[in-house]
Amino acid sequence: MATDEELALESAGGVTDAFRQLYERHRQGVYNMARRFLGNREAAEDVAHECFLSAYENIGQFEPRRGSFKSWLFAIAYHKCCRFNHQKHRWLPIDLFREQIERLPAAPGLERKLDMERLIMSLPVSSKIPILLTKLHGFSVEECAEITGLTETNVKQRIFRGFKTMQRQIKG
Amino acid sequence: MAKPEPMMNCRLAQEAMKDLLSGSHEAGLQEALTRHTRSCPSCRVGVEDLLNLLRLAEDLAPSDVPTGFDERFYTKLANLEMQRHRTATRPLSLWEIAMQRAGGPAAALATLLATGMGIEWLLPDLTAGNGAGLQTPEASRTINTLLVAAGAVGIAQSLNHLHRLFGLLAQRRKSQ
Repeated sequence: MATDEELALESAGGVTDAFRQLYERHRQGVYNMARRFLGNREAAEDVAHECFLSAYENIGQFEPRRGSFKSWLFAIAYHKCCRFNHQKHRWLPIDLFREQIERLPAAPGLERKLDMERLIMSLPVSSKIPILLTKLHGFSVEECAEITGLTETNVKQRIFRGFKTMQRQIKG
Repeated sequence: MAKPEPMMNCRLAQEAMKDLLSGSHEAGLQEALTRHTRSCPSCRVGVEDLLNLLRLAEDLAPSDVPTGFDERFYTKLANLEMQRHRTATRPLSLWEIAMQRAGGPAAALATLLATGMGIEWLLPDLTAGNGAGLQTPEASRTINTLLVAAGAVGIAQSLNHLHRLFGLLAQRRKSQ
């Protein structure tokens, strides 16, 4: 199976199917990041679409020696979310994965997972994003620093601060 | 010889938690932390809570994309492709070609004239020589005519850029 980087190079060379494969591999991840960042399903869909369209237009600028395709793509998504959040839609209502709650049958541990979702969603973006990138999307601290433009120390600090905030919230 | 492990204290335990939570810890850190919490009740509760939260965070499941997500994306992608194709294949109008060709020389001429006028204004003696030179009415008239011509080209060029900018904005609004 071709790697993301090989597919990106093919796509830059004009192979449309290569980009389709990249889209299928990463659409869920990008959507999830946008969803948790913005807290709104419709906005997340728009931003995820914009992110892929932007990646499609600028795929020629991707350089594998500077990092993985996934980091590059998530950096685009992160910046799109920041812009969306700052410029237009601060007033968006937060829908806390309501459809997940409605759809899933009762299962052991489900409530705790949903509580965790709520806790994470309640964090400020500065702590939420480093936690999501490292825990949900499997990025290393170094990659997370690349995506967000922060230093590694700062990423670690924000993750720690995020967990501390959640701990305080649990204790009431 | 193996490096001796430093004694963990409460301050080091906090630092270790930072590494552990961010996933950038060295092997054996968690064990060292556990050993410390066994003997330190004040750290134990906090560390256990944080480790539980970490396990839950790592267990978060990604949610599926909504129904119709892909169809909507592929429609947008097809629109983008069509737009790109249209822009690539559209022949340039005579006006655009003229503006593209005239833009560079007009800018160069305007810069040259502005520099010349600047020198004349700042150092009139240098350019006037013995009282004649550029300060004769004929020379002034020629320079003024050239300046007006360069200014007109410059204004036309700016209008052309504005026209293209508004076109792009309208396109973007339509695609949204």
